[in-house]
Amino acid sequence: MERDKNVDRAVEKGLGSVGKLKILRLLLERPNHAFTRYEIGKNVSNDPTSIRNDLQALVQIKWVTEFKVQHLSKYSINLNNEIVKRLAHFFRELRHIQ
Amino acid sequence: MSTGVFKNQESLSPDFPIEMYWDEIPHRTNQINMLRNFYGDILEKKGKSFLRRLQIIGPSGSGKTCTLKFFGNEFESKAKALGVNLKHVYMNLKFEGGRRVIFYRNLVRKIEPRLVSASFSAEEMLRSLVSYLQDEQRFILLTIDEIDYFVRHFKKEGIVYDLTRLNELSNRPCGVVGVTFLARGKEFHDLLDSAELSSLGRTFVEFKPYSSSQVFDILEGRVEEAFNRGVCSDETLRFIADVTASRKINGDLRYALDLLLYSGVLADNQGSSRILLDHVRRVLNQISPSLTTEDVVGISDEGKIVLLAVVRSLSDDYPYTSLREIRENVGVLCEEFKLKPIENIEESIQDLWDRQVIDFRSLLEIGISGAPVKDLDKFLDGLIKRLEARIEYGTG
Repeated sequence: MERDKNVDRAVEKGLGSVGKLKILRLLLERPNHAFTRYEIGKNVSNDPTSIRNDLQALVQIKWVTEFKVQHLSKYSINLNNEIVKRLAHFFRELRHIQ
Repeated sequence: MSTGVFKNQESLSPDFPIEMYWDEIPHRTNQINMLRNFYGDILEKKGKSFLRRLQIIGPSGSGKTCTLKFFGNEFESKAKALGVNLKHVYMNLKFEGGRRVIFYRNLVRKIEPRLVSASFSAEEMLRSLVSYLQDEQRFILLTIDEIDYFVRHFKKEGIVYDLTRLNELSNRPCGVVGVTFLARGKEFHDLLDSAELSSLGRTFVEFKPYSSSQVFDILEGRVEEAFNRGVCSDETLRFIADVTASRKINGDLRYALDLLLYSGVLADNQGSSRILLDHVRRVLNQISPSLTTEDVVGISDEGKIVLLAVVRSLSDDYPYTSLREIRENVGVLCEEFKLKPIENIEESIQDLWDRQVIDFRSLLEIGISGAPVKDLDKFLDGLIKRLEARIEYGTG
């Protein structure tokens, strides 16, 4: 099977740190909820700057969707993304998420 | 886990670092751009520039602190991207001030704790800091909050002179690239001597009080963060915004946040799933225009006892009490809270006056600033509860 370098890059970027994994897990647990950065920070023990940087990376590879509500940026998991769908399945299989 | 009306109650606290979680400070874009223009080229010079001084003048709750923290974070990130070892250091003189040597110790601790020495004088501490910054090629952008309070309370400490003349400690850039002083007004200039005033400079950025529509706009974001969906209607928010923008409150956003927080708590206590106008009106009767939660938090433990004594002394409709009555009440309170007797009540009275928390007309006429005489009882009850919640019991 031929490797898709774009997929490789996205996976490397998206799963490249514990912080991003924790964010993905949180967002996958509540796929219909849009989180503010503060809400994410309350659940993911990491500093605000790291959370902002991790979210930027996840938004860039389109695993997470960002949108504005008033002056707040909110984030939710993008279940339309093929890799995210498979990741959700994979995490579920591992009982990583409920 | 969220319960009742609140999703994140703490996001309405005065300590909540909104600048860390928001991508912009609403309605302060012009001021942020002015800061970018004023300090921007320092990074092009890789930090090797002489000290710049700037003043930020605006009433309380006009966004000075969070704007400067937001700018400081952004400046720090830009510096990092350019390989400049720069740190933004924020100092609040109400919390971290006091005598000069204490202030410098707190400042140095934030920059390099290893430089702190109890045996150093203020001058030695400052010199060792500058030498360290120069030797290590590190740079500091300093924000000094509540300078007007400090100058009023500690006239002879000379911090303004020291910090604006750091360049004179050596003939090369001192490592502190900028000092921004935050004040509620320019009246403190009258208390500075000519040398201090001259080195402080006349450049300032003005923060005007927020208008009703601006308060509404900012609160919308806060409501989104703090409450569950549908808890706070536009009508309620508009009412809070209008009250906040009134001449008496002068657009003080901290007041708006307090009003929102306590209205939410009241709604929660009453089992209501929404904050109603009546909740806001009831809270309005209990909080003073001039005293926000942050003001209460910033007062020393002794100051809180003395303020509580003032409040308890004001039990009837007369708006003033005497120093003698306050002293008696302080004694009772110290017993009640199992604290050591407070010897120097006068110093706490002076501090509360400098903070504009109390009115001091004479030894026989001491009152609470801005407390509405009409609803004094309700207001005092509310204040007593807030103060009592902030005073910790002693160990006996």
